[in-house]
Amino acid sequence: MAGNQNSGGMRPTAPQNNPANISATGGAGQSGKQPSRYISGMPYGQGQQLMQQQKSAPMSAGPASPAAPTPTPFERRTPSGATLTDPLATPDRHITAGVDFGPGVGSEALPSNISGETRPTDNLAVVKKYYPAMLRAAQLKDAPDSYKRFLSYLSGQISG
Amino acid sequence: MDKWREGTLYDHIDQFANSLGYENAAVAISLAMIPWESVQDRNSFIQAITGDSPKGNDGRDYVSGMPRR
Repeated sequence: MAGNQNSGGMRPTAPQNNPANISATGGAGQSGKQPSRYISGMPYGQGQQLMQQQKSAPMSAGPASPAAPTPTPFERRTPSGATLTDPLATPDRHITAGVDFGPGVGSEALPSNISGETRPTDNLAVVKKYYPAMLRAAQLKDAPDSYKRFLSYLSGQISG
Repeated sequence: MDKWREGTLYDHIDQFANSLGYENAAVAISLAMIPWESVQDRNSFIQAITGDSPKGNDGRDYVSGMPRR
């Protein structure tokens, strides 16, 4: 009989022989329904009763939902649906308008009730709270001079 | 921790304080406490709000050691 001598037989490279293709949990089949599962630990007779109930009224499988990747801070949406990197709704106003760094107007443009005199006090409280730990970090090997200059400035603020 | 490392709280403080200005120390410390997912994320944020590259670490890039542009 003429035929391909390589046909038939067990092929080690066949998909069914690849351990990666075997579901660790047994799989849920292709029927679109959830498989019946035996629930152990029930009083005598109730386990079998539950199995029969599951078989008589199978639950439909939920829609496939691949795990969504965790968004980065720049991809997370605000309640209004915008992300951090979306174009500004007011393109003529820079994102740092109202604060004292970056382009745009500074805090002098804010209403008086926002730019109150309490901020320096609050700032000093924050600085005093973390200054001891920050000072220890300045003694680490390779601590940059820019960090040490900052601590020197803070030291003057605290003592002044 | 016996050596200064990139991506630590103190590195964040250095980058924010030198980028935002020392007078904004409290803001810099608060921003440094955000659990930044990466140094790149943090640097992108600094770039977005200041319009300039981060100024910490003596203005040098950690990997190349060269001054940041």
